[in-house]
Amino acid sequence: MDGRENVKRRGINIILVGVCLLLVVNGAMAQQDDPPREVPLICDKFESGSDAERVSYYLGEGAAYFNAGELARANDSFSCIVEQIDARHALGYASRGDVYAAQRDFVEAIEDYGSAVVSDAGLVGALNNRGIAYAALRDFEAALADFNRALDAEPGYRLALVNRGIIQALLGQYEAAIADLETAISQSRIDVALADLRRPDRRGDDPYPVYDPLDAHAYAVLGMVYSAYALDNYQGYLLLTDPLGDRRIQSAAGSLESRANFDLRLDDISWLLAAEFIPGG
Amino acid sequence: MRLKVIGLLICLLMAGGVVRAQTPTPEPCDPSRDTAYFVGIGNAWYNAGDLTRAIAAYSCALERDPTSAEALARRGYARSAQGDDAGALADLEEALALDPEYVDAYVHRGVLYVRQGIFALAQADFDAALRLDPPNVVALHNRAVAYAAEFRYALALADLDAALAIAPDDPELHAALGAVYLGLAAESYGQFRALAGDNIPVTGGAPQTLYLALERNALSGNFGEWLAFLRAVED
Repeated sequence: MDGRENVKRRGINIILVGVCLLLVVNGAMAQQDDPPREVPLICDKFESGSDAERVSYYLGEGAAYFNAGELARANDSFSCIVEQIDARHALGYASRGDVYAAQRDFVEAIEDYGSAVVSDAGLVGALNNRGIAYAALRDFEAALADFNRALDAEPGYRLALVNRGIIQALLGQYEAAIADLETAISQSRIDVALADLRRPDRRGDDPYPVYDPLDAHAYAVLGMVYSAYALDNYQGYLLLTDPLGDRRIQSAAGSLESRANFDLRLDDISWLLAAEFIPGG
Repeated sequence: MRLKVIGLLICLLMAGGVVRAQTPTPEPCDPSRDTAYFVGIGNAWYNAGDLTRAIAAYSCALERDPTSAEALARRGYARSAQGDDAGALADLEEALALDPEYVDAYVHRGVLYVRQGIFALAQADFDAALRLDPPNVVALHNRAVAYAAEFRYALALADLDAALAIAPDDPELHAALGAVYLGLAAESYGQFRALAGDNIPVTGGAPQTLYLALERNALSGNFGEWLAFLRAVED
């Protein structure tokens, strides 16, 4: 690939990133302009029961609606909890935050996760998920602050460790990102499982190590961060040697850049790990 | 061009789902949850149209509290919607034994009886519901249908008039009213034909056309058509 192609390709990438930004930001702005609730919220189930029973009912109803993909109805169920039964119900807010996030209304999700944390300062999952919502709005500093707060409250919280690693890499803090991901890996002991699987004398009938496949996610992210770090260095080299840089490095940089702009985008929030407040099933 | 397409696809995927962590598959009947929770789950699945999951959730609620009339009644509704009339009747009977003032359970059982052609029991259930809740439009509506299915049009009209006095803008009531009038018309034309025998004047025109149409109309005593006018208990 010659220099002109590189420039052309970079131009296309810049346009695509711009389109992405517009999509995300416009989506968020459109959500902000949503009209107020047109149909009044009716929360008349288990009316003669205790508040605890009513909350329990709407938690169940909301969970099933969420799992059925009926997000507006799920939103109403959790709204019944926080708007009509218990205005300080942290799980109600966090669950509705999950619904808003699924509806891609990240502004409202941030609001609800924030209310959840106000109601229960120990709910680190809400901080983690708010960080993800900030990242979706491309406010990486705010996202980093939330992952930091989650880790201050619970230093071993692996979801926030992995997520902070991703955000740090996006901010160019590669060493810190790698350190967080290595910590997540060693804390989960997924490295022990990997070493066991790679053991040369391992026999076919040896028991398979027990681990949570979700913990393997840290390795995938670590690879992406190393790739981004490598790309950053290649680009530094190419900037310094332009236009006489080694063509092998130009080629490697182009390849990595393509990956980083498409299927391995660190700013794609699908790499972030969300705490789940709404049970599945 | 291909790059743009791929890029746009990725854009659409961006900011979409995140990896859901801590997603343990819940036990079918999570022992940490109470009856109300499972009733909530069941109602949502019922409204979302997944009757199998709804019935499973109500059954979980009943594991927690076998005396929950609400869980029993709602499982009955779901079983009825699934076509399991016997299971639905069993649940509704148990629910009513536990709570003899459960209006919706009477209405729903009445509907089941109408579907089975057991009008006396259906009317008794609608009567019970209306004793407990006189302005219950659904009970009035369904009792009217039950009466009409037995050609008791005057009683059907009285019930629909009473329901319309409460809910004059209810379209389903107007539809049922029209059907009852059609039934009455079919009955009158039928009597005309019985009296006239073979001496029906073949004059053509509106009366003849109407008669022939009504004779073909399934409403003239076709019970299956009346079932379409039954009304579900509103959530």
